[in-house]
Amino acid sequence: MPERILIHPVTRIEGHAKISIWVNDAGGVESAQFHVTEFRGFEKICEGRPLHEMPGLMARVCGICPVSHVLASSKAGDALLGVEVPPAAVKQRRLATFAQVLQSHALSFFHLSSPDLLLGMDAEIDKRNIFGVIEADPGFARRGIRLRQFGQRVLELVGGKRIHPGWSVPGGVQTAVTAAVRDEIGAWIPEALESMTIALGRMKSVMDSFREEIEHIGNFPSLFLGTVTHDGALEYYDGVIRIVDAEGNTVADGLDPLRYPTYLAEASEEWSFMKFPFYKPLGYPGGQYRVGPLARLNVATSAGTPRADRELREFKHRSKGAVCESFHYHLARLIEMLHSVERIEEIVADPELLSEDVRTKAMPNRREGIGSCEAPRGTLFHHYFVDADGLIRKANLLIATAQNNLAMNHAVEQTAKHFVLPAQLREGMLNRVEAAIRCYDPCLSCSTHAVGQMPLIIEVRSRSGELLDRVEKG
Amino acid sequence: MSCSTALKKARPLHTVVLAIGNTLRGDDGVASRVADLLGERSGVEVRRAHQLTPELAEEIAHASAVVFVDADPGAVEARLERLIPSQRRSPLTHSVTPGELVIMAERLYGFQGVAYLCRVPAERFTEGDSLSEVAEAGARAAAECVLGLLDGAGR
Repeated sequence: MPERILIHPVTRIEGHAKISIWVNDAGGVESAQFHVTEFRGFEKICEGRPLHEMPGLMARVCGICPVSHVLASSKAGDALLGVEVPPAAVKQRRLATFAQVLQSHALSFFHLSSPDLLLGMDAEIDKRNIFGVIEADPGFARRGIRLRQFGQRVLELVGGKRIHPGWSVPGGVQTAVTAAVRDEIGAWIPEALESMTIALGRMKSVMDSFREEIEHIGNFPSLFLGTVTHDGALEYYDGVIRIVDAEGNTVADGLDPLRYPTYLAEASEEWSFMKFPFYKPLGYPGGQYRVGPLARLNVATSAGTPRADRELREFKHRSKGAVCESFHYHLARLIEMLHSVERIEEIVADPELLSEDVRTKAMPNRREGIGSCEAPRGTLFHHYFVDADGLIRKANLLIATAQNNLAMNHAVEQTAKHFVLPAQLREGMLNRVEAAIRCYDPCLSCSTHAVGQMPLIIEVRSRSGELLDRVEKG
Repeated sequence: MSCSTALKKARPLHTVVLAIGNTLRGDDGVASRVADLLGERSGVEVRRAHQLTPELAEEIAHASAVVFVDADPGAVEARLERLIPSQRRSPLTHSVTPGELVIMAERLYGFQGVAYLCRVPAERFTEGDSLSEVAEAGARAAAECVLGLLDGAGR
C-alpha cells in the first residue's frame, strides 16, 4: 500500500509544482499538499531600479498576465508621483485589462481545461489535450483561438506588444489610441460575442456530466475577496475591496486596496516557495480566502453590462449563499470573458478614448506607493518604497495565485480524499486532483515571481520516505 | 553551416519567418537578430514571437512555407532543417512547440505548406540584451541559410 503519492509536476498550469498525497494506516487518503517548487525572487530584482522603469520591468514577471503587473506597477507609480491620471489613459488601461482577461481566460478554458470538460476526466491521456479537442470539435477550438487572438490583438494595438507591453507608465500611458485602432478593435466584437454565447452554452450543457466533480473537487466554505465599484458592481481596474463569506454575507466592504497590509498578511510554510496570504482578522490559516473569477462573481452584486448581468443572475442561483464549488471557476471565467467583450465594446465607443492627453508628468512626491487591480487570477497588489531619487528601496508583490494557495491546498486534499483510492491507483483519479488545481488556473511564475514550465510527476512514498512508485507525464 | 536540406527546395511563394525568443535573455533573443539580418523582402513576412502561442496557428496558415528560427544551446552550427510536425504526448503549458503549431495550423486552418526549423547556436541565457560571440556568428550563418531558402538557391 503506498503511503505517499506524489504528483509532480502538475500539468496544464503555468509554473512548477507537485502534489503530495499522504496515505493513512487504513489505506485511505489522510491529507494532501500542493507544493510550489520554483523561485525567482522578483522583489529583490526591483531594488535600486528607477521608479519609471518599474512597469516595464514588472511586465516581465509573467508572459500570461503582464498587463496586470504593468498596471498595478503603474498605479503604484501614480501614487508615488501623487498625480491624477488623464481620463483617456485610464480608458486605455481599462481596455488593456479587459483584453488581458479575455486572452488569459481563453487560454485557460479552451487550451488547458476544455480537454477535461469536453473529452472527460478519464479520457485517454494522449488525447486529453488541446489536440484531442481539435480532433473532437475543430470549430470550437477555432473559436477559442480567435478569442485569445482578439485579446492579444487589442494588447498589441494599444500596448505595442502582445506579450510584455510596457506602454503604461507612472502618470498615464505613452501613446494615444488612433481612430484606426479603435475601429479595428470594434470590428472584432460581433464574432467575439457570438463565440462567448456558444462557449457558455457548451459549458452549461456538459455540467450535468460532472456532478460528482462539482460536488467534490474543491467544494468548501471560505471567504471570497475581490474588487467592486462603490455601488458593488464587478470591477477590475479601480474600486474598493469587498469580502463575503460562504453564506454570501458581507464580511467587510469598502476596504481601501491601498491599506491592504492592515487586513491581509502572508504566512510561509517550509514545504512551498509560494506564500500563504490570509485575512488578518481571522488569523492563519482560518483567514483563508479565495480570489479570481469565482470570488469576483461572488462579491459583485451586478456585472454592469447586459449580457453578463443575465449570466451573473443565473450563476448566483446556483447557491443560496456564495458559490463555493471550485469547479465553477470555469463557468465564472466564461462569464468574465463575456463581460470583458461587452466592456471593450463600451470603451471603444467612447470618444474620449482618442484623446491625446494621456500622461501627467511629475517627479516622485511620496516615498511609499501601492497599486492594485484585478488580474485574471485575482486581486493583485504592488507595494513600493522609494528613496528621494525615486529609486526602489523595497518592493512587495501580493500575487493573485498566492492568495488562492490555502484554497488550492484545501481543494487538492478534498479531491484526493474523495477520488483517490491508493490501492487501486488510476490516472483518472490523479487527473481529478490536478483538475482541482486547474480550476484556479494558477500562474506559479507570477506567484513565486519565477520562470518555468509546469510539467507533472506522481510519486508514491512509504511513511519513512522511501520511493515506492513514480509516474511522470510530459 | 548546414543548409543542404532546405536549399534543395524550390523558392516558396509566400513565406512566414517566425523568430522565437526573449531579447532580454541574452542569446535567447538570437532569432530576433536573424530577423534583423533578413531585412524586408517581397513575399516574406518576418515576425517575432516571445514564445509560440496557439493563435499563431491561424497567422501562419496562409503561407506556403514557414520558417521557425530559434536559439538552440545544443547546436554547434546554424542548421536549417525540414520540420516534421509532431506533438508532445501531454502538452503541459501555455506555450506550444513549432511542431505543435504546425499541426494546429494544418488541422484547424488547412495549412498545406512546408515548415522548416532553423537552429541557431546559443550559449548564454542570462539577463541582458547582448549576444555572445557564438550567437552573433550563429545569427549571421543562420541568416545565410534562411536567405538561401528564400532565394531558392540550389534549385
